[in-house]
Amino acid sequence: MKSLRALIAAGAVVTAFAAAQNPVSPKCKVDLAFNRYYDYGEIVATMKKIADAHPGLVTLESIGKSWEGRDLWVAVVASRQGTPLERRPAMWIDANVHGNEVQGSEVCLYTLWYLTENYPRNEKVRELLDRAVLYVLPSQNPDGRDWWFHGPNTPNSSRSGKAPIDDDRDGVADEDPPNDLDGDGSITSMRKKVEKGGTHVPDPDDPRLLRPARPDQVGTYVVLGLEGIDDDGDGQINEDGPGGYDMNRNWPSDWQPNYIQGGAGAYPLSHPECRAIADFILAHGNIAALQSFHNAGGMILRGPGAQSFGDYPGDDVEVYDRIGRTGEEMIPFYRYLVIWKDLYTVRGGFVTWGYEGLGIFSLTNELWTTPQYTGKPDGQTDLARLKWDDRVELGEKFVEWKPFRHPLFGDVEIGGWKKDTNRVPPTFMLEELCHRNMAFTLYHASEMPKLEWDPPEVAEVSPGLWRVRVEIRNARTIPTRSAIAIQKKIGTPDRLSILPKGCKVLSGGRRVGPFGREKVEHVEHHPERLLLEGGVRGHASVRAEWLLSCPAGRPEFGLRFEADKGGLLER
Amino acid sequence: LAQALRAVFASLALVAPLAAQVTPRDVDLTALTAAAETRKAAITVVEVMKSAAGAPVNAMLVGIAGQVPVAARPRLLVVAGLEPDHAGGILVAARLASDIVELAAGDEKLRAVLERCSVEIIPCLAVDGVAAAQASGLVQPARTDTRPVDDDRDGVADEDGAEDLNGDGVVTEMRVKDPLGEWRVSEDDPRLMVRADRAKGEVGSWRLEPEGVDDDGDGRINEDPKGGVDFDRNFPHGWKEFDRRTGTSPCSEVETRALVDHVLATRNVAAVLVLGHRDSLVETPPAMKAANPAPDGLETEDRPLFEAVSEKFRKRTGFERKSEDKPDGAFHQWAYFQQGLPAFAAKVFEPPKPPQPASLPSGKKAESDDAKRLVDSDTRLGGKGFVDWKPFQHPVLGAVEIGGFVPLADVNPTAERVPEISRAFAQFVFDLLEMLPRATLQDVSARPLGGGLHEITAVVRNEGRFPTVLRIGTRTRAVLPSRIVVDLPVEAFELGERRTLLEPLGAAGQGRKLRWIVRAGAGTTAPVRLWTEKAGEAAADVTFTEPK
Repeated sequence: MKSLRALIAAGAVVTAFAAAQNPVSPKCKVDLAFNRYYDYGEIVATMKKIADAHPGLVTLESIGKSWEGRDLWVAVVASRQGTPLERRPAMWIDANVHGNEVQGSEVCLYTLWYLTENYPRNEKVRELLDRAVLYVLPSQNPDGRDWWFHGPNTPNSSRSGKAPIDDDRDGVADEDPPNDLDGDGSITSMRKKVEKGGTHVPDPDDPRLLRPARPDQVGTYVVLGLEGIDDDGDGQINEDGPGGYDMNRNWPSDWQPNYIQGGAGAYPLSHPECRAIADFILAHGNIAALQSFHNAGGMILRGPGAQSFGDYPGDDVEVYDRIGRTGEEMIPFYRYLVIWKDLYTVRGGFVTWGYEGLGIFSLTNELWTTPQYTGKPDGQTDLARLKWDDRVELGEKFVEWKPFRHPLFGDVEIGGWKKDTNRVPPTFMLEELCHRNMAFTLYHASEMPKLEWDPPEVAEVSPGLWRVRVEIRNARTIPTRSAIAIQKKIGTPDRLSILPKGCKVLSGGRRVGPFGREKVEHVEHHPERLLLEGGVRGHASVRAEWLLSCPAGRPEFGLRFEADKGGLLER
Repeated sequence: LAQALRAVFASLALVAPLAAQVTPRDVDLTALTAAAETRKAAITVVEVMKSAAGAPVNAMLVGIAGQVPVAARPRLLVVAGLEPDHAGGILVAARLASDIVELAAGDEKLRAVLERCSVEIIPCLAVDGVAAAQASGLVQPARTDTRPVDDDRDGVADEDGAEDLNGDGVVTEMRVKDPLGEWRVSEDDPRLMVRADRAKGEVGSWRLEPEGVDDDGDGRINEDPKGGVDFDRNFPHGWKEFDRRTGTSPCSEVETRALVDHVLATRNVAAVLVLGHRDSLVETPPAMKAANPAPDGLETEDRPLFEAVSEKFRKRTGFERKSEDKPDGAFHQWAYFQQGLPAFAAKVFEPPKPPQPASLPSGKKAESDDAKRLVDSDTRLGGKGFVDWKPFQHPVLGAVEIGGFVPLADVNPTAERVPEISRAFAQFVFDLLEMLPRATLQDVSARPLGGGLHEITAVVRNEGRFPTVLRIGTRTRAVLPSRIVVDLPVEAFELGERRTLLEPLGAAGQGRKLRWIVRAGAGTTAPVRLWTEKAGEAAADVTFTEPK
């Protein structure tokens, strides 16, 4: 009887244990839903929850404040054992520089959540967080984000931050924004049915849509633009809304003033958000990879941002291509593209600064593209989208036209797409977007340099004279120094040092040349500390050799290899 | 070793003879705006920013009480001391305010100018750099701020600066006997070193090195001195990336960013004059060839105006020497190319043309720059522009000779010349102020049309030598459109608008006639106000009458 009870109790324990360790759906320390979007306050609260639950993996650091005073919280993700974080290769991940391009922040949250929950379980996650560090800033533009969530907007508005700009150059800033006339939280469109002077007719397939009247048709509608009135009485409507700049044109490389590059800002890094981020990145020379999430269009973008730059060095293009094409395979309907060639010219962009100014392999994923919705490459017309909205989202995203008495136009109709459509996925598809883009970003991170070496070869070449040879290998695709960093002399060259005890370093240098016939490039000054401008290429190695005078016999020495973006080896 | 040497020579430097020209040691950082103390009615001191080290950077705002408050008038901004070693510019700028006030006191026309315009003078932007140059106790080029920068990219910043080995307070050069040397002693003057022209079979036997030791043992001497970023290469137009002296971005430095923010916030800054190493006044910069994407030269329409300013400048200063300097990232370039302002750079000194020696031993005239510089030192500076070569036992190189030109003796004036230079610049400042655009409102009147309607007409005219907006300002859209407001309710307007934005007005009496038809009661009046960003403001009242 007793033993039966013991057996039952033991069984209960086993069952309970099995429940806690359900191998198919392990219990999470932090439960988080990815079928919804998070405003700034919720993002910060979620980051804190994750950091509190995983103190050994995540710390939070406010790197500055936005124009309206919101903290820019960066999550520093890495295991805290082993090499100090600042000596590890690092990846910078951010999102939402354009306030309306929101879902990248959810990708960042998902990444934090996934990495922390899976660190104990997944070997690849563990390998990455043990050897590297991720700096994750879910929103570059928290003011724009919060305004998009809580203010009346369209899918495209609130791209800017909130510092007032006098868009219409009349001496007053932000005095004629769009107005949420029907009070539904979205800025939709205005149209007016007219007897005469119409330019549009209802689409025969769906009268909620208008299309231009044919030459043989009489127009029955005029299109009046976005919901709004002429607040400042200058005869124009909605021409001076909140903000009015583009923080993704405010970075130093190929920055050009507003009249050349719209939205550029007063000077590079003039916005407090950009300044804070640049200060952080400049202070972290270990950042070797960078991803900055935007929406939309399903793209994996690299520079150049302008044709005038010319081409990126071939060696770097090969690395980029390897990463970008892998991304195309990992995320259906995404295309790997070059910004100026395939999208448009961007001067003073963030990822172009990352690569062209700092030598970091930098990418922007433009998240979400309608074919993901339909599962087919076509279907991006408004008509098709309306059908999908009616059927799959139960009509949630389209505001039916309703009459409104406008102070200037008289009787009009207001209606159209809500702000959380077109550029952001329907929430039921958000989690997939988050996971695939995170997986691609972790792949990008995993290709950051991983340095390895074997014990050095030590040989006595004549009495008291010893030769030491060492080889440093990079086991991943990204080099310790990009070709552009070498070309433009960005950062500090890699350093290979020998620290002998009781011996004198007579000479030293890199071993170069064809296999089996290597020669030593002796350096004249400081042979004990070799500066390696060329770094270590991906899946390649550098070799070096020293001659030591060691009268006391076999030399004792330390070795150190330091690469700003490749980490530290010491023995 | 280097430290020991520095300690020894630091004490020597205190008793070493001063250079002939003014140096940072002549700058009293606590008295840069002292001119304001004796002329309180016309000069006020404003703190423009705090430097990176937290020191105040002050400006003097100069103007005589008039209709518009001094702070709101069209303003000429004068900035000096972008480079710490340009002591001449700093000292001239510090004096300039008093000279401007004095000139105005003695001349009714100039007084009127100073009643409607103002001049803001920032005598020294690089206050931290000047303090550092003073602390070094050495005469040497010092164009940068004090931010540690790893010039030689070896992972350590600021570890190999100059040493004053011979203790004369001046960092000159070392000549070292070297079988592979590229230099030889000139036959014209044994003090001069000339590069051996191998194509002519000349043989070199000397190597030239800067005075100092190789502190970090990398084979190079003085290649990573203290500091820093050169302010006048840190502004957004033409900024050169990947040069360690230009900063990590335009406006990366506290002071350059604050100066730009100051100009952006002070919308009435109508022109800029920089006193420093650069010149755009002796020789007018070239006209634009292309705008790809930014213009590479002055707008064709603007250039004649710049030539007119240049002519005045040359007349006032007598300067003739053209500049070889490339103004990439310079403050005045930003002010013109991005802010659309008339903006100029001036040196405050150039050595007089030396008397030509009848003949040199080689039979040639002293044509090379070095030969002229030597003559200038021997004549004007009594030999103080050159340190004669003297043997020195270098701790590493062994027997060397130390000597050569005293840095900046041909850039900075001697102290006694500063007052007359300041006077000439004060006159030039008035030349410039008189040319600035000045918008006026004339012939403002109303005519009754009957039925309660009135026609208002007004003429807006620019009295200045410059248009209200330069061509470049129109291109960059950096200058806000002028506007004229007839202060009646919006509903009162039958023709025209309450507020009219104006296209730029051309120079020298060009303008526009404006017309409105409004509904107004007889016997009432309405203010008509003209606002311009850079060319002043004007207002007049119109009174509406009964039809006759």
